[in-house]
Amino acid sequence: MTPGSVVDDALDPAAVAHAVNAAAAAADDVDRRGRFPAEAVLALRQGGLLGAHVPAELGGAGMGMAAMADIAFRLGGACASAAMVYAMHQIQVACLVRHAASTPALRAHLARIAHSGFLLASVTSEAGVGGDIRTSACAIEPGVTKPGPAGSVRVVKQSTAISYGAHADGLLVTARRTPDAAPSDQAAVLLFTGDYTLERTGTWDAMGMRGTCSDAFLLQAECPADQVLPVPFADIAADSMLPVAHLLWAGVWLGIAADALHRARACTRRARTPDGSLPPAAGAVAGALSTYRMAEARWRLVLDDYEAGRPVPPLEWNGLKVGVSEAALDVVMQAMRICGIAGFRNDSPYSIARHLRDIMSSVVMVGNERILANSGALVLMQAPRLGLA
Amino acid sequence: MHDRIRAVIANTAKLPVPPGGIGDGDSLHALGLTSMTTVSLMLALEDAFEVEFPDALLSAQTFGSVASIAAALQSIQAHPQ
Repeated sequence: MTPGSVVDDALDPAAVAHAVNAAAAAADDVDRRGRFPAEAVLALRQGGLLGAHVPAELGGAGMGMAAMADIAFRLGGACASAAMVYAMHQIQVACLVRHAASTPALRAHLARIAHSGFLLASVTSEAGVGGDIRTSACAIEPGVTKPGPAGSVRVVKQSTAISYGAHADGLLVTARRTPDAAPSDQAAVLLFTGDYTLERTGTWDAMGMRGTCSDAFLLQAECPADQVLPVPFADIAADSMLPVAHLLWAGVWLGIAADALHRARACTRRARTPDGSLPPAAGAVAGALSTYRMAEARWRLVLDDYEAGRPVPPLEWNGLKVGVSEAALDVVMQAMRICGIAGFRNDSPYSIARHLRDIMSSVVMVGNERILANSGALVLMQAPRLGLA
Repeated sequence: MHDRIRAVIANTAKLPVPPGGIGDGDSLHALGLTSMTTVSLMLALEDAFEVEFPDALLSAQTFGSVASIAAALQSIQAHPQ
């Protein structure tokens, strides 16, 4: 452990297991009270897992996407909210690693993020833009109070949801590049506690993913101008934010589905028929597993392509998101039917209630209908390659 | 234990031999135990001996003979979860 570092040790499997156990132990309380999964995030921080994706030369561990997707999966089976916080944080880190390492100031910030195990939140949503992250109403304006050598900028943004915004150590905020820029001409600004204030303007009381604490906030920020990422946000979104989000979200959702499947199998294993024959739900467990495997295979396939640097067209990213989320919801729903009243109860070891409420977010969080509408335009303009050849 | 196992086999596995005719080491699969009847046997053994087979022991090998079932039950009873 280096002085001042929150990282206990070099990365080890025990750190992941510890974080997963911490997430699982608090999951019901996080869900019931809609509170931040602090235990899991602390364990992730202490295990060096929050900054692990940062390259080794900047103090991280250079952890790759497959390892992060695996952690998202395992956390998803323990506490979906903790898993989603992990995923959303790593999406921000991945954007910075790919698009911010070119300037000395941002490199220094990345090193600080890795060293201190900062938790980063995303501020893409904005009132009045209709949920499209590629559109901003607010703009980066010249600052007044923090001149510094590079000058300063200020941003005021009315966000509709900043997941775990009140618990984050930093934010990645989208805004129009200048006050004159078009709504889609956006840049991303990296902010740290001290650069901004958050005024809560709405609270998160949702069906599922309750621990993400996705409250609405009025953000008011002023920071040195070199905290603005040098590349257009359009590139960051297409090259990093979208791919990493889809890979990690899929991991979270499959993790939820896998735990529901485990519970359904365990419930069926302990069921008894009067004549000692095969429990009738056993076939349904096999059916749910089959659905699950289809989605898991697709996740692996895209993950392998991404890791190998093979191009993944937008149509396939959209398909991964829609396909895995629908399949995961289907699997959890099947698990509920298999477990029956034991799945419906909140206090049973075979409860599927939290899983079902959490997994519902997968189809409405960036709604599948919206994604399919975008894919509709793509699929008509480009014949998909089908078959093995 | 072996005779109790034989009794459970007689009640569940639907083998074409009388329970007394099954030797400790005889292959139950060769005697006609199928994957379907293995599940019934497994569930009945759990009830009769008040144990739960861990996933690691759920194999055709475990339910291959009276002797292997006895060994599995003894290992579960020696290391209760």
